[in-house]
Amino acid sequence: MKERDFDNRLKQRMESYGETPDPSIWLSIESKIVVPAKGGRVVFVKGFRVVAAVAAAVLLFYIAGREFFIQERESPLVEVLKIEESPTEINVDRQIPERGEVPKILPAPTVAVASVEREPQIKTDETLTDKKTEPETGQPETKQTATRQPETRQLNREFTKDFSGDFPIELQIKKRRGRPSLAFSTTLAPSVGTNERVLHTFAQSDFKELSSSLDREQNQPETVYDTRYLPSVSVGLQVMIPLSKTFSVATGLSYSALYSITDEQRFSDKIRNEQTLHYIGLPLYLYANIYSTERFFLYGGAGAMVEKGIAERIKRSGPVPQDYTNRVDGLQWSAGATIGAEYVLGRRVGLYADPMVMYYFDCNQPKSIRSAQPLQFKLEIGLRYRF
Amino acid sequence: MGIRKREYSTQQEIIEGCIKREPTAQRKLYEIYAPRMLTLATRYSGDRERAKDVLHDGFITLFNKIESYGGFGSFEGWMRRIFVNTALMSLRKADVLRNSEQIDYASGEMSDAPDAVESISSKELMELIASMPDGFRLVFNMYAIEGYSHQEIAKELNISEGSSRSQLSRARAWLQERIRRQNEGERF
Repeated sequence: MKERDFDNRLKQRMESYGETPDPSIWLSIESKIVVPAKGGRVVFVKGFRVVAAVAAAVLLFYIAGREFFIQERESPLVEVLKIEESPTEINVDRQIPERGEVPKILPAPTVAVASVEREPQIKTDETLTDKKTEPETGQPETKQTATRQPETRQLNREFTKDFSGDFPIELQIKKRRGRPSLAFSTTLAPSVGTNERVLHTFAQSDFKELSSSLDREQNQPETVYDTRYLPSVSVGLQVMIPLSKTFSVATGLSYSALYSITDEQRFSDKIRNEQTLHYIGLPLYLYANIYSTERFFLYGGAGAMVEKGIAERIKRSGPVPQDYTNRVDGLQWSAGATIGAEYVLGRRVGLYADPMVMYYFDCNQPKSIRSAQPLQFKLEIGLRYRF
Repeated sequence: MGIRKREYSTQQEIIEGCIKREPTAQRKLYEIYAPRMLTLATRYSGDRERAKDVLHDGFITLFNKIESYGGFGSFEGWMRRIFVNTALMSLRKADVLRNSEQIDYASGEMSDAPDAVESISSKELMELIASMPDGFRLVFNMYAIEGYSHQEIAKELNISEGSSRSQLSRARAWLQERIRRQNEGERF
């Protein structure tokens, strides 16, 4: 009894007693533990290399694809000019379709549309003017051309359902292709069904030889962590500005929510942690047009995004329920590439879908699906509005 | 993109900050626990210079392994184990543990005054413990202060359980004798 009393008194005195260490010790420790900043810069540089490589690949793909399609198709305008140069080949009677013969005369509206667009450059206008100013002359060629023009317009109206004003919808879409657009998008990451199970024991750690029987009784070291990640969801607004006929640059603002559930199974109880992470992101993407028809665009793009964590909310349920919010420091960098498609619904609006692959760099952010599975596949769906 | 400094009001926040490798949190943790860990290192090591090395290495290990702390139990208890382990590794390197069983003096008789501990300052008490012979010092620290069992001490120090018990008994007697002498004005 005396021995235990002696030990306890001595233990109390020693556990509460401390001496201030030499300041040089901390300086030495600090110099050996502050490594993340260097690592971050390395990751940052590597990230740019990845982005550059993806962008180069998209560009090459675009150039190869463009060469192929240029050889396959000629501009409708070129066809029109050819036709105008040899008017005898245009037989108005043959151009007027019979109802129900749509497949045979499908190229005709395209010719008519282009000729309307380029009215000042072709002879049709001149002949129309001739008709108005000299109706009595009765020159055969002028009459023939003059009667042809209304008929081609009539033809155009018959086969263009969304006709508006003087120009058909296809022409209006063409005109709006090169204009800035605003897109509202929703992004889902279907590749996030990752489950992660971790058994934490002293036997796995480096401290097994240090665990006394008293420690083991107090700390109950064996715990199973079972983490499930739910699909992350993003919504965003994107502004796309054309740089040339081929390239566009896009930026905007996006909001992402990441959700995970971690169950801690201990000896005597079970604790559930529900984590919700909120991020605001700023993307910067370069897009290149690969192939397009009147209503369909196929394009490729690559770029990077930087995100700032707004908050990490933890809801802890178990013997001692807690609900608290942590601040998220630092920035999350990511790079990605996409091959997307857009279908034009009307004069200004298009529906697009961008399957994309994203890589999230290790930026010392709270644990989430992005740290568990940095390479992710996503699907972005949205509406694009052209001004 | 730099990490901003912030105030940490709870131990939990400091630990979370250390897990995220936030320098401010690491500094804060060091400021809170370094004095007590230095005392622990001195008690085990027996000399100040080695204790500084233990403190240095212990904190580096701590910051690298802090994710292993599951968030339950006493954080300080978990932390003390790291420093005890670091001290023992340091002593092994210096070949101190090999001779720990050979120390065989002191009577092993316990005095009748357990409250003699209160008669001297904590600093003097720590210096007395640090000045104990290696075998006494390690067994006494591990058993009386850290709460290891004789079986665990025997395994850790590679001695028999009987030897651990014997050395503990003698260490107590040795320490009480020194305290008594110190109270009487003797200096060793």
